[in-house]
Formats: sequence, structure tokens, C-alpha cells
Amino acid sequence: MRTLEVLAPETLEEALALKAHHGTALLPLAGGTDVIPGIRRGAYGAVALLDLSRIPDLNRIVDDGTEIRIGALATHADVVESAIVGAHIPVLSEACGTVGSVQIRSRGTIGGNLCHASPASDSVPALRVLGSVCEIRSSKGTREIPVGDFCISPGVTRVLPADLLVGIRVPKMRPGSRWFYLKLGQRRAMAIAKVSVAFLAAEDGGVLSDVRISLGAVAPTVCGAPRTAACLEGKKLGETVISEAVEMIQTEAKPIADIRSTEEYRREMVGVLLGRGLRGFLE
Amino acid sequence: MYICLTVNGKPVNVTVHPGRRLVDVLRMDLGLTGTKIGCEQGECGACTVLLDGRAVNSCLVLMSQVEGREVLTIEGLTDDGELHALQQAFVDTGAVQCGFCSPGFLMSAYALLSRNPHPSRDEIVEAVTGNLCRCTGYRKIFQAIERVAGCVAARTEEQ
Ligand SMILES: Cc1cc2nc3c(=O)[nH]c(=O)nc-3n(C[C@H](O)[C@H](O)[C@H](O)COP(=O)(O)OP(=O)(O)OC[C@H]3O[C@@H](n4cnc5c(N)ncnc54)[C@H](O)[C@@H]3O)c2cc1C
Ligand code: FES
Ligand code: FES
Repeated sequence: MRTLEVLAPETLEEALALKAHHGTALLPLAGGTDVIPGIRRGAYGAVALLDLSRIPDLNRIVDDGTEIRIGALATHADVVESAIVGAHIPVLSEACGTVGSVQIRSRGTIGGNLCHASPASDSVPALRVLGSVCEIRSSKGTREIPVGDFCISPGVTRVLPADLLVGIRVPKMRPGSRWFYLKLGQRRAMAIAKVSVAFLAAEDGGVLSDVRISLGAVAPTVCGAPRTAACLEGKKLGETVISEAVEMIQTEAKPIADIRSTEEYRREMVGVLLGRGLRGFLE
Repeated sequence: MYICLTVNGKPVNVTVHPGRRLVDVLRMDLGLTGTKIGCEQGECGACTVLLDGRAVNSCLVLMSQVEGREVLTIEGLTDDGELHALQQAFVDTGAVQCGFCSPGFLMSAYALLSRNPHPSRDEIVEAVTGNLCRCTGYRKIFQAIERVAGCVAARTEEQ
């Protein structure tokens, strides 16, 4: 493997100054679970690494009242084990718990998962239905971008050459919310998603409102299914409503074909996962 | 770069290129060849070590990232040449064939038991999903871990 130069700043200010100076020649290194295999494949040109691991507090998970703030360097394991996340945004624990293996979850970070901008990044559909906002910093200041607008195309995000993603702000779920994150991979363990569905809605007397659906691994970036969500809005869940929603999402989703799956299979499975999740609410 | 870390309970100070992988420094510079290199991309778990108590793939960790951290390798499991209970259980159960995967499985199992001393079969399976074995078919490995977890009695379906 090529050995790249590494800069390892001790503070965020120092890291941002380095990023402002070097731009894209300096590749941020969080957990490294995407970057290190990438170096081995020869995916990067002449870059040095900016090791973020020595910056204090970038991995903190804090309850801010109405929101949970998750530092970009929080690992999937940190998220899964966080009592704050489990109590207020459990759909995110569920999603991060499906990432890779124990070893990958020990190292892989939520910021890296977002910045890798894979349509199959498991945290992203969950963060998207939660209405989360990314905090991006440069030496000039802070910008905020909704998770839904963060990824532009596979591997490309709204993070500019002088920027770092520093955290994600996630509004708390309302008590009694209905939610699921379901993922279909090649096998149960250690598989990148072929299709995943995140679902969140408020429920009152069996009637759904504020319905949100995000799809992973279907389009080039994680996307929504607004027509299907609208079709469930104000409905009382039952077999007919569920069948309608399943049919609707199979026409609404515009899947890609790639090495992991075909378009037809993905279209079919988006419906199967939605149906499975919604039927789970009836039990 | 000058890097200070703890390996198997002892302080280690090394001057290394910060972009080198932990697995290479463990094996080549420190002579700790119990940690194996398989896929080199996080898939097989042969290189599993504990970093601050968590199982990680040492092929996916760079030296720059371990400053001030604590690493435990398979060599650190034995106490004065005496096998750790998990190692002994792997031997006794026949969970080792070629043995290439064993250090990785043992470190994953050790990480599990140090957090959860009485895991269920499902929790054991989940804890080693990041470890591949091409020889044993896994059942003996699960049994060996269960033996140490003290829940053999509950597992009559094996017979
Ligand atoms: C065996 C294996 C299995 C995997 N399984 C899954 C899976 O099931 N689901 C899944 O979603 N992913 C999976 N992954 C991918 C990966 O583990 C995740 O995407 C992980 O969250 C990446 O985080 P990281 O900290 O390791 O990122 P890194 O590799 O450190 O970085 C990823 C990218 O983000 C950039 N970056 C990181 N942090 C920042 C920041 N704060 N600011 C700006 N840019 C930043 C880096 O420059 C790089 O481009 C798997 C990977 C492996 C090797
Ligand atoms: S060699 Fe590290 S996971 Fe395979
Ligand atoms: S014993 Fe040979 S790979 Fe597991």
C-alpha cells in the first residue's frame, strides 16, 4: 500500500487553517474505513491525509433540548451505544447498527458515512427522515445544510475544499412516533445495502401524519419518496392502505442497476421492505 | 513521527511514518506476528486487535491514529505463557484447523466477553460477523466461545 503523508492537528482551528491552505490536496481521515481501502485501490491522486482523530470533543453526542447534536467523529458504535440516541432518535441507532461488522462500527464515523456519500450509506436515510442538518465549518465560519441536500452524487457532497463537516443536528422524534429502518443486503451480516428504507411518522389513534420515507441504494444518492409519503398521510393503517403504498412506491422509485443488483429487483424490494415495515405496525 | 502507545500493557514509543498501518508496525517493527493479514480491506477480521477495548481491523488503522491509545493483540491474551481461557476453549473444542483466523476470532470474542460476560448465541454470532473462517464451518468456534461464556448447558441443540 502507498504510504501517504499525514498531518495530525491537535485542534479544530489548526485543522481548518490547514484545510484552507491546502484544499483538496489534504484528504480528511476520520475512521479511515473508506479512505484506507481507497488508498490501497489507488483511488486518490497526490494527497496527504488530515487525521482528525486528535481533535478533542469532535465525537461528542449531546442532548441540546429539542435536538441531539452528534459530532462528526462519533463512531457507529458510539451512536448505537448512546443512551441519548436510543431514547430520542432510535431510528438512527437501528440504522448505524446495520453497518458492516463490530470492527467497522468501532472505527467508521457518522461524518465519514455522510461524506463518503454512497447511496448505500446506512446512516443517511435515517438522518434524512429525521430532518437532520449538517454543520459545516471553514476558517471563515459555519454553514448549515439539510442532510437531504448534502449529497450531490456518489462521493460528491456540499463540503467545499476548505471545509470540514463538524457535526449533525438531529431533531428529537416525537413520543409515540412510528418508525423503522429496513435493509436488504446480499446476506444478513457484513453486507452493503442493495435497498434500504427508512420510515418515520407521527401516529394518533392509528392515523398517520407527517409521514417521511427515505430510500437507500436505490438512486445515485439517498432519496425521498414524497408521493408515497403523501399517499399515507392522514390514513389509518390497514391491509388496503399498505397494498396501495407498496404499489405506489414501486412506481415512484427510479432504481439504478449496478454490481449489487438490477433495477427490477430493487423496484420489487423497495415495495417488499415498505410493506414489511408497515405491517409490523399492525402487530 | 514519534508515537507513544501502549501495546499489551507496556508503553511503546516508536518513530514511524504516521501513514503506515498498525498491522504492519505490530508485525514488522514489534515482531508481534500473531496478528494476521488476510484481505487488507476490513472484510476478513484476521487482523483484529483491541483498540481502547474495542475490536478493530488493524489493517484499517494508521499509526497517526493510535497516539496515546491502548492496543491489545493476541500475544497479550496469554499470561506468562499460560493460555487464556478462550484460547484453551478453542483448543479443547476443536475450533482451530489451519489457525489463520484464530487470533482474529479470539480478539473479537475477548472484546465481546469483556463487555458482555454472558452473551446469547445470537450475540456471539453477531460479535464475530466481521471474522471469516474457511475451515471450521464456525459451529466449533461458537461452541468454544459459549464454553467460556458459561452457557454450554443451555445449548443442547448442538448434539
Ligand atoms: C468491510 C466494510 C464494510 C462496510 N459496511 C458498510 C455498511 O454496511 N454500511 C455503510 O453505510 N457503510 C459501510 N462501510 C463503509 C464505511 O465503513 C462507512 O461509510 C463509514 O461510516 C465511513 O466512516 P469513516 O470514519 O471510516 O470515514 P473515512 O474513511 O475516514 O472517510 C470517508 C470519506 O469522508 C471524508 N471525511 C470523513 N470525515 C470528514 C469530515 N469530518 N469532514 C469532511 N470530510 C470527511 C473523507 O475524506 C473520505 O472522503 C463498510 C466499509 C468496509 C471496509
Ligand atoms: S486483513 Fe484486516 S480485515 Fe482482512
Ligand atoms: S481455521 Fe482455517 S480459516 Fe479458520
